[in-house]
Amino acid sequence: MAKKGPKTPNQKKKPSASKAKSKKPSAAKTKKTRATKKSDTKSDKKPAKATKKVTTQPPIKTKLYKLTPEHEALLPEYRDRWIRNSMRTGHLTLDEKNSVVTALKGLYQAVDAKEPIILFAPSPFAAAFAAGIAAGVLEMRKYYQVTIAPKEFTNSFAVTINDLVMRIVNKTPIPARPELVLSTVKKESWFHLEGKVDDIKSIAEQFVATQSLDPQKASEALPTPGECAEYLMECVKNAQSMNNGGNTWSGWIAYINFFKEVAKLPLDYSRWNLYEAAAVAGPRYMHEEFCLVSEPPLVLTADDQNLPHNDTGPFCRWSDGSQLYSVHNVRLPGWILEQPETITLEGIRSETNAEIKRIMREKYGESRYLRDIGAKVIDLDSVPTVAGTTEGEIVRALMEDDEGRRFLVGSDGSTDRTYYMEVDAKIATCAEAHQFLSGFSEAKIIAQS
Amino acid sequence: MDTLQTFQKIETAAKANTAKLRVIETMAVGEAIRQGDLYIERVAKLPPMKTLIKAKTHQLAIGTTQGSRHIVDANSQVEIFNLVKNENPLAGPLVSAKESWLLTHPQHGHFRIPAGFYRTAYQRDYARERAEEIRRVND
Repeated sequence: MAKKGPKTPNQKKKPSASKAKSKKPSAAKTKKTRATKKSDTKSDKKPAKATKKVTTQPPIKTKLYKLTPEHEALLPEYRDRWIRNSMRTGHLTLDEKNSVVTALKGLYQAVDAKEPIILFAPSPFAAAFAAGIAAGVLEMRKYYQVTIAPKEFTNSFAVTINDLVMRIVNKTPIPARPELVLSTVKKESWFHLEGKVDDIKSIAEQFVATQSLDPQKASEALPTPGECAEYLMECVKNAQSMNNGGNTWSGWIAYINFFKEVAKLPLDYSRWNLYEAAAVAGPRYMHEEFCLVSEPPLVLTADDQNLPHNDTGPFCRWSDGSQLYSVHNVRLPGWILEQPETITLEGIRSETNAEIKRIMREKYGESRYLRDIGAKVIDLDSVPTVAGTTEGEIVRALMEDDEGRRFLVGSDGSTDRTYYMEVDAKIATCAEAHQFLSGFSEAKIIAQS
Repeated sequence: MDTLQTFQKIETAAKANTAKLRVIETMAVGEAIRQGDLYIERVAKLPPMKTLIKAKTHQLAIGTTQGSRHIVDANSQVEIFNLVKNENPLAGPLVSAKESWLLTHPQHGHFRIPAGFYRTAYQRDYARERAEEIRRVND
């Protein structure tokens, strides 16, 4: 049905979101937007020239901006401000929501789009699923009369999505208090869509085409309920085409914000200011009829390089129980971190993602893993903790596992811990392995602890 | 020696370890010591001052974990610098000490280190699937 009937969000010639959608901002994009506005009124195939004729824009100086030492000193402040924005946690306040709504209305107005229905979703997942289905239903309605057979949902996540979809397709205005009822936080991995497909599908199955509105298609058979649901599911898969990252795109915003506030480039930032103001909230899904905005997560943790990280639970969790797991930016299913005791040797062997496999090995216990697979001992030696003395001894081994990976196994010389450090598989001795990891020749190291 | 015997030997030796203070009386330029995942090498001189920025902390490894608390004792007369532009994730701060200084750690043995200039470096965290990436180990 998707091929011959209404188009899914990214199939349309003029995607519903394309008019209003703000893509990743850049200086080039800003310029293009102005040029496009001009070419709407006059047919000019050279947008750059058209830009110069826009009288409302201040003239652009040709002098190139150069970073001064004073401006450079301000970079950390701007970096940190926008990192804070991207790492923001907790619900948006009512004031923040109101200013986001005002900014979004302004953005739609800036591209001559009509005012959309604006709703807040508890997570980007809820926003994406609801946006996909709602966009599909609105598209279907151009061709068919669509009736709704409402279903009862007990799963709180499905209730939330269904509520959002119904508000959009029934054209419910923005509620006075736009907060949605927060669902119970559930310990569940939302990294994969699997497991929730049935819920989303159930929502999609409510919408049934009952009559063709297109005279040319009147003689054709109506899509079956199954085909309608299949089409709406396809729309869910394509919902990403309506996505704007909101505060998760703070890196781009920081860049332009710096040029606006510090470099003070002679540009009209009035529309940009709206984009910036909307970036307090999380990712949003922008359609010509509606805009679904995600709340920020309640929990967001990172490692010292600001990479998504939590070694024991979700690094990111939203109020509807959606959560993501990551160890130093390696996304993985939550059970590996929350139920490591269920990891088996067979499970490690069958994992195809090498990074996840490594984390599973660590959680299983490197020592236990190397023992259980009967790792091969390539080299064994010992070094004194203080060179030239018999004060202490570090015993080390170079071992190879059943995949040909080599590990330096040894203690540190001052604690009772044993370490397992992977090294290049070409390394043949413990000394070479230590040099590989430290960058120092062992002959130079005079004491260890 | 088979796998199990090897493990036994390593673990037996590890249990005999003690985290006692190690006093380094002399340290030639080019020589280094290791404290956990941190290496400290004596160097002849520091890079030009214009390439350095004074560190705001006496901790020589970034992080909030116990393992990262390689801290120069507050009573030590040292100046600690970071490179203004440091593109090597394994390169740590630089230390200038006019007298001997104490490097502490909550788990590993402390070191009393002679006066001089030092550079610090971190151990690498290697994995075959990201062999090209230079990443510091997380202690």
